[in-house]
Amino acid sequence: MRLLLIEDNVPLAEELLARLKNEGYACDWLVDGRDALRAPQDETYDAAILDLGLPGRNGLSILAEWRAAALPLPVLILTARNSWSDRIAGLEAGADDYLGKPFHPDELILRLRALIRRSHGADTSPHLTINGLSLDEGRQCAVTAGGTIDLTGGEFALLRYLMLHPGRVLSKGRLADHLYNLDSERNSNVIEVHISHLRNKLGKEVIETRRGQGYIFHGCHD
Amino acid sequence: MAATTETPLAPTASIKARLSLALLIVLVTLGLAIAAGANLLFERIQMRLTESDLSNATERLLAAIRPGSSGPQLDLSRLDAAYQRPLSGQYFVIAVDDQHWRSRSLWDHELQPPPGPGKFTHTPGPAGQQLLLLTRHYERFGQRFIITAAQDYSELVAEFRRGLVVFLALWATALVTTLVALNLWMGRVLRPLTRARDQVVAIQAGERQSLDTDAPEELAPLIHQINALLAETRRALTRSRQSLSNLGHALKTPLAVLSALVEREEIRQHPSLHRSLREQVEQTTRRIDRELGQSSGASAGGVQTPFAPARDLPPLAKALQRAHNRVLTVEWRWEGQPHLPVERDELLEVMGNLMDNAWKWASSRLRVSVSHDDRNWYLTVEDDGPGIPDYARRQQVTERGFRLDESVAGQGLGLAIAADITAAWRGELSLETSSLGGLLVRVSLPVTGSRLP
Repeated sequence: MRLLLIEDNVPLAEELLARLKNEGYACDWLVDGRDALRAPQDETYDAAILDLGLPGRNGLSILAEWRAAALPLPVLILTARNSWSDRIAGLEAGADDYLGKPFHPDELILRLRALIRRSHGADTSPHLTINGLSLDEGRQCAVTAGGTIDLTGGEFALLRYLMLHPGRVLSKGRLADHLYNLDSERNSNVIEVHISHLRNKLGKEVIETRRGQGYIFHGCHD
Repeated sequence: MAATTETPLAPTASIKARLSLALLIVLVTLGLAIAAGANLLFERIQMRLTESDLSNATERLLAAIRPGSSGPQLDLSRLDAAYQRPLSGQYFVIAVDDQHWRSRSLWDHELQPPPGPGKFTHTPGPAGQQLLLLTRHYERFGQRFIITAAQDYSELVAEFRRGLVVFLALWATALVTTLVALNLWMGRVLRPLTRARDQVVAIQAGERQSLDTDAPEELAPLIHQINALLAETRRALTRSRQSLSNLGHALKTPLAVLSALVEREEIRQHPSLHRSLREQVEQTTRRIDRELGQSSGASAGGVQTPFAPARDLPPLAKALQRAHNRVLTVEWRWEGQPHLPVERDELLEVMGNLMDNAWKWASSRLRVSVSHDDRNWYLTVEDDGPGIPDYARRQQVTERGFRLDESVAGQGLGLAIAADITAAWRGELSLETSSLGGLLVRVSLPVTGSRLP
């Protein structure tokens, strides 16, 4: 999952980036409202975390412009202004969720998970369950009929992305776009390594490889 | 009720009463002085006149003495007829040798001749008359005549006294009339003051913003001064609320940083440290949220947007549904398109907190109603959750000044904020048991829609 974090408070952004990385999200961070305005158009993001009090451009007007340009990006507003009238104004401007500062980081993560799952039409039960395979996002492990299977951070992030797009062919390039920040990671064969580990842990039929096209998540059909 | 109405101090003295009293004293003193002066003057003039009358009378009496066959005789025909009429008020006694000639008018009264001649004396006369006496000694026809003439002046004095009484009565009537007129007139003159007072009461009740500047010349500067003071106070209040609000919001981002730092692995390894830090962060947050709830009116720059349930509540439910990630059936109950005279943002904060609580506790349903009678608007939020069965705790939650430290996360803070804002609008918040089985929170707001400053 690739996230866009737009927050002008550096210490807060740094804490959030560290936490989001641990949760298996790739993050881009912007400080200025004017940069934020164009950012989602040339990058592929799965969700945005938007602060309202930004230098350069007010967060609400950025959101309004994104929505006017029919950008479907799920947006979670993060702001100190969290009266109910502010929240309603935020949601009416097109936000998908609204979180007032200060917040417990766990709360942000839970909201974000729910937001991303909703945007993919998945339900918001504690575990993401697709085609017989369950993913415990909190503990970063897979749950099958056979039991719990531990995953590394890289494997977890990849599997989550695959599970949110079941039955669709996902190219290596697209996976790299949505999962990695660094060029070093993008250029290596890290995806192939993770896919093979996942197949070893979950079973060969869970992920199908289409030569030259990419990968398809099928799940456990038993 | 939150409104503290100060009982006015007992007025030291009304201007009206003071003026009336001063006028009364002046007029009464003046009237009495005039009466006394007139009395004195009249008596002097009267005495003088009477004295000269008497002087003349003795001369005439002397002239009326004629030599007769058997000695001098009094020729009555040459004298005033009043001497013949009994008790007429004019009398004489003429002593010659050993004879006494008395006027008939004296009847059986004896005149006491004064001790020496040429002096005027007062003496009581017959029938309560007041007599002025003059005795003169003359030599005529070789004989010595002692002529005493007397004249009554009581009738004149009585006449004058009657006149004086009429004068005083007229004076008193004029006095009373003047005082009544003065009172009425003062009432008119002081009406702008009374009006200003009523307007100040209205300002206090939040029904108006300033005093009418349409006032008499003498009062206008005061009115302008009061208006300036009010405007300044309002500005200062807005400024301080604004800065409180800014401070509150400014503290939230550093708190968010703290909140994130506390969750770092290094700190989580020390559970008791982690717990106390988390506790402090949360307490500070609650404190700020509550203060912000109270100062939320600050954003309104004088223009008030009324709260319209039909427009404002459904988006709120949508926001709650999103926030709780939980779909509930909400039953709306109101008639027509009600508009409440309460700032939208503030009532939204009340309803947001109440519905947020309800959303937290409800098992599937919520009921929100808006109604009113002559005195109050009533807003209720009900849910089908467990409610608060403990009556004592219910009381505690809605008490004014309910301490934040006592508020358990979840129930307390939202209700406390809602209660604070309700109190600021001179309303009340009460907790009951809903027919749905859960908690019913009722907010009553006076229809006048005035906010405490």
